[in-house]
Amino acid sequence: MPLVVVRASVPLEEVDVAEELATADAWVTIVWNDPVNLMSYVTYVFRSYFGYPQEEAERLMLLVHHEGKAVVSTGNLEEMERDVQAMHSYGLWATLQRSGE
Amino acid sequence: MKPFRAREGHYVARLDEVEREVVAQVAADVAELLGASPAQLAVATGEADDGDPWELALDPLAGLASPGSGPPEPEDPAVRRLLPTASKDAEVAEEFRRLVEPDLRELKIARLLALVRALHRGERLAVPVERADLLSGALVDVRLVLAERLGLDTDEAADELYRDLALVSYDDDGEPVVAGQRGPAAALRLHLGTVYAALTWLQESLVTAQLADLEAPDA
Repeated sequence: MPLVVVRASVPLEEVDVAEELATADAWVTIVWNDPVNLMSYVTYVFRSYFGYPQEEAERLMLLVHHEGKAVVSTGNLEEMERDVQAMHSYGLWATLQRSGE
Repeated sequence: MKPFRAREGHYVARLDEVEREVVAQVAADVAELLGASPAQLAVATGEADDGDPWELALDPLAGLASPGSGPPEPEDPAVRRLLPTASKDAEVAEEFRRLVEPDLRELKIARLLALVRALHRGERLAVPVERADLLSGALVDVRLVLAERLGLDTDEAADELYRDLALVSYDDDGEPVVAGQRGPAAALRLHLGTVYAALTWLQESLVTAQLADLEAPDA
């Protein structure tokens, strides 16, 4: 019985995996600069939500501050919707878009 | 006003009665802007119970997307900043408003009202460490709305506000003079600006404590 299941599901899974790989990093979450959120707070959010180490969180925060925006995560559409939702809940101004746009 | 400090699993600040009233009022106003009902507002300002105000009772059904198109982009720029358009791709933005915005709106209202309730408890404003993001998020949302009303759309405009606040004087009638201006608009700028500056200071103390706990979670 297990064999049947495996046989039946292998091609389907292969398709899914291929699609997943093709779209895995197709989207990005961008955080935009604003004059209200504290640098310490933005660093805290990047550390606590994304789990970035202090140095990476600070680098991204400074990128937002000086360049006006930074890509803070990449993934598929659903993942980026989740990240943007989290950023909005923290009060950060974030958007998602296709990678490379 | 005394800044947030870590105390036995909580972050605790202290606000006197006038400060509590002013902050509770502006937090309730922001909740109302987001669509809090009169009943919700009445409960938040009503008699205090013994429970943790930060234990939010979110409606599991609130996030269920309604069929059809999502809600339109909010007209009030301050609300639009709290619930920003999620993408320049119109289809993605619309789907986000339909699927995600109801949850976000509910969370934001609930934690603003939790702040109102917590302020009604008395001088000690406390939040359990593991729920502190709810308080900092509420503080950010209030500051974002105040900033929009104050026209703080750039870092320079924010610096200018602090300069104006530092240079406030009072004329012979006791009326404030803000950046050479007097009258209702100047008085409003002074009031909103003072609340904004106080909440910014309070928030800085909270995030400093939170960052310290990320460094040494067992401390």
